[in-house]
Amino acid sequence: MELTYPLVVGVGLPLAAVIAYAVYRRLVAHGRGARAAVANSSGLTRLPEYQRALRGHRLRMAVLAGSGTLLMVAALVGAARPLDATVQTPQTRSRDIVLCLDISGSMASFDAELVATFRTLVKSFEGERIGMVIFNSSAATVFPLTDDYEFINGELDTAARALSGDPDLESFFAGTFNGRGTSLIGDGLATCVAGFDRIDTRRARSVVFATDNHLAGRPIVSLDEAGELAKLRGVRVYGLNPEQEGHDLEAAELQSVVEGTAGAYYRMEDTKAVRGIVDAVQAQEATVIDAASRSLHADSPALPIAAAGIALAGVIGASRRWSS
Amino acid sequence: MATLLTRVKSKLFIASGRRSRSVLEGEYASVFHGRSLDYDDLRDYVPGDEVRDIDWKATARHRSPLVKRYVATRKQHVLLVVDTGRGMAAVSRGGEAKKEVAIAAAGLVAYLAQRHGDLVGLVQGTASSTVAHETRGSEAHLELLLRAIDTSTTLDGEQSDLTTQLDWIARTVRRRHVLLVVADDRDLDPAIDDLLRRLRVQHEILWVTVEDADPTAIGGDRLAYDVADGYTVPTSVRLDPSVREAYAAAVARRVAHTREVLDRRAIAHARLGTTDEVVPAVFGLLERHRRARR
Repeated sequence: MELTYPLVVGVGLPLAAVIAYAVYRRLVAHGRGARAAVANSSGLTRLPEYQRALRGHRLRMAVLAGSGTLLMVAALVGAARPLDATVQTPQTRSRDIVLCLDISGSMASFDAELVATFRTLVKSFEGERIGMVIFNSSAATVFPLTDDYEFINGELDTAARALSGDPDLESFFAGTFNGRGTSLIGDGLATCVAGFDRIDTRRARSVVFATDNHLAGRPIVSLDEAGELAKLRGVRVYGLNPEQEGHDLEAAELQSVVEGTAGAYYRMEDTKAVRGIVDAVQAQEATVIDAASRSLHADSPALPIAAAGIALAGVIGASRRWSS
Repeated sequence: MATLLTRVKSKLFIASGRRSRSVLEGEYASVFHGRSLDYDDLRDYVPGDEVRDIDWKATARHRSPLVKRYVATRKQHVLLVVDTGRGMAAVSRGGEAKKEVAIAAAGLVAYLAQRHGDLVGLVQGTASSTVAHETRGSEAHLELLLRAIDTSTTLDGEQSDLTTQLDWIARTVRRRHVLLVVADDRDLDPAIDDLLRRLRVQHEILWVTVEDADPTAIGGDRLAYDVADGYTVPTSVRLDPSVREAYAAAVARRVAHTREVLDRRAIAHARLGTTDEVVPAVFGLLERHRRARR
């Protein structure tokens, strides 16, 4: 236990001792002034009633002295404000998952459903860090990697409402129309891959990449390059395609890129998709990372206050009997 | 400077007035008269005189009873036996030092004796030493004796033990005396009882106990400590009602025991707590002694 003002105890204790001694001296001097010499007090002191009363008296004096000392020490320690210092090393277990959602026009009819899928995924990923990025012609981060699930769910709610056309939430899409074209898949994936922090630590990093891969415009980074970037950074990309009908070149390209990053490709209708992504992500070894340890200081007056309370009760109890 | 004897006398006058003072003298005279056949004179009867001393013929001629006075042929020897241990320097029931009460009682009896023409001596002492003073009949001598009691009784003196003095008297004093024992307020042990049995045969004994202050009644503003060992009796303990009750019972038991022991030896005794009680108490003491002798 640390003290905020150790000086209070350092000065207070000797001072209290000096005052106690002065009071004691005064009492003694006072007692010397008025004394009555009695003879044959053995007639009194031999009595069993006297012995009993004397024991009681001694006990009361002991309680009084003990309580008084305790009260004084507790009051001084309390006045010095004891601190409770805990060194916290927050541990984040961790797999990082970025939900990457294509909100281009071609995806509009699936987005609400995809958000629902994300929500299911988030439920399964409890404990992991999750971030979300949406992209159209440019990518915008909805929320960065975090393990605050209340916040995540709140944001997903907002996303669901915005994607289902709530006019109050136009601002949700802000920052997604800055590129050339409309649906720049490669840029989106590259942004998602770049969304991971602490790239120097070994962590399981995954991107859940929901897109139909309908490219409309000229991206800065092509899908292949984005895939290479992901591979370079050890990010696995799980593709989630809502719009695959039969043989589809774009879907095939997506599948090859995704599988090139050691991820997996699913169609959205695939009932095994969610399960598959969850299992695949969880199969990767979670790395426990230690955040920077910090020491927390909090006033912890409970002990001195409790001690002072008990001591006060003792003082009052003992002195009440005394005066009676 | 007011002498100790003057104080005794003034006590006698203030407390009783001239009339009862003569009563007290009459009481003493009738107890310790040395009767002879030589008729001296007649005087008024005062309560306390022996009825057989009344001169009935003279009384018949007179309006009030008259008493015959004889010339005392034999002088009584009164021996004051006073405890001068440190216990007697402690506080008495009335708040004075116990030795004041002792001096008042011894002084009064000595004064009455001296007035009666008797000789007064003193044996004083502590547990370890005994001092005997000469037996004489002058007021100056009385003053000397009272001074001796006063100066030798101090708080840092020796412990009290009256056995030493009584034993000394039993071994040393041959002549028949009237002993006035002024004792500390403590239980009479078998040793004292045995000495009293022996002394009673030879002497007439009057016993005065000087009462101790009640430690359970001394105010809480003062610390009470025992003179014997300096032990301070904790104030809250001695003022405890249950302790007070038990102490009162214990004192009553001790008083009863003392009375029983002294009664068994047919020794008149009185308990004194203050100097104000001395005159009536000594009167009662003489009265009881006279009755006990019959």
